[in-house]
Amino acid sequence: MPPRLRPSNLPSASNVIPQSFSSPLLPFLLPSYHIYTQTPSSSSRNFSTSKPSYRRARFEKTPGTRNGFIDWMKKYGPKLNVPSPLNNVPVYLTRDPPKLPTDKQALKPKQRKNGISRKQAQRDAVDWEAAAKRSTISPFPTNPSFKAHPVISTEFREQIYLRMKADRSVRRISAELNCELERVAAVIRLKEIENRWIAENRPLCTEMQKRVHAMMRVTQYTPFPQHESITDLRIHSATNNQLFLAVPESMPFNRKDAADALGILPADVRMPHSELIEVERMKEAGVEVQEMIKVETEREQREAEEAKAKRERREKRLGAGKVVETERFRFRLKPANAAAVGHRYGVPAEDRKRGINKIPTRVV
Amino acid sequence: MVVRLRLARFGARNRPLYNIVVSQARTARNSKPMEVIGTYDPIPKPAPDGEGKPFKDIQLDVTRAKYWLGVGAQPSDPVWRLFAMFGLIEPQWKIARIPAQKEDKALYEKVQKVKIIPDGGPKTTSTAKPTPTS
Repeated sequence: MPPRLRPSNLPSASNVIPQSFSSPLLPFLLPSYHIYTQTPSSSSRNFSTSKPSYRRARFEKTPGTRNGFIDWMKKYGPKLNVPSPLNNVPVYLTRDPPKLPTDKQALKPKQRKNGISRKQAQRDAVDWEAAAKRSTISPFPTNPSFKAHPVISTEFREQIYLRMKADRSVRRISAELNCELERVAAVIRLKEIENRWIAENRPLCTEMQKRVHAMMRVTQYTPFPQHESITDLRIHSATNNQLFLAVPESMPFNRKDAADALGILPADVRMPHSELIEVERMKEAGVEVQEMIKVETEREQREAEEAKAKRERREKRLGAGKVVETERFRFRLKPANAAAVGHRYGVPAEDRKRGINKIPTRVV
Repeated sequence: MVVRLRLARFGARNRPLYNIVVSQARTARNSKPMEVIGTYDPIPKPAPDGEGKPFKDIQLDVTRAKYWLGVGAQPSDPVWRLFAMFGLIEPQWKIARIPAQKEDKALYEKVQKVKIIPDGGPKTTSTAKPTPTS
């Protein structure tokens, strides 16, 4: 991905990177003001007292793909338009960017008189807000069909975790926040780890997060967020193959029949949040909200009870008998009955004896 | 002739399974024993919940084991180790850090020949010399 560059008062990206600066991790190594809209300081070597050595770090002398990138930048850099990131809308470099929306009034010669160059005036006249709105969401200039998926903001994650702490099921959190089940589960797991790390005083990689969030679309938390579709059905491998089935014309053939023919569960059952179908049906039927809430609560309770019973059965099955834990293993000690336990000492097999017919006489 | 409590190997190559058997000491390992009182699967199975230590299963008829010990049957070393886990005999070797033993700190220290240092210090340091195997 080409780096997103600090744009607001820069004509082209090639100006941002000094000729002496070379690193494959350029966007990450740049201080954050190169990504955000603050003005960069005049020197990027504030921390150093020695003179910069331009001789050592020439682009031409650096090997590998970095050269390719530099070449690309040199070739396309001047043509690139870099609008301002706004409201967490990322604006990526594009090869053939649409013409930037400019304020024609600002370009009038009268207004340019006070010592501003023509180029600068053009730059100032750009309506960056409109540009950001029109910007592409693909970080790959030559692959416009790739659309970067948004990530959820820190506050969003916090809200997921708070809901979990308030004893809400993953399913319910997912439905409430329009966030996939897997994502909710992952956020909860990672939040647990984060909390543990904080308790252990381990450093967190917040800087990395900040940068990544600056480079991607971020879904902010709102009371009814729309992060993604939560009812997307995963492709079942059984549906990859064609299946021809002769069906009478008069016979209705629905999703359930199709699933039966393929030998899988119907889509209505397989999809995540299949319970939302029932909710929609109730809505259609004009059931009152209170009634709907009641039905949903009952269903949730039933599900929780089933899950608990299942867990208990499993624990009972696994925990039968005493367990002794050693350094490496857990020994499960199970009571047995001497009459029934052990591998049996049976009658010796006689199939190798002389005269015993080994040709099978029965067809299974 | 001595009656021994020992293991008889079953299973296939590289996949042992043992019967815990009561048999005459001088009979062959897999000969028909006087009694089979349990099994031992030495191959660790992955933890069922996906986390934690792998487990090994031991089945034992504790009543029969107690009877045979009572009439003087001699457990072999591996069987001694297994029986100790069931709490039938005092552990002989550096077996399991058995919870029961941990509760009885004095016994644990005596058997394991270690000194338990309370939290804050280094973990239990083994002061035991390698015990010669019989």
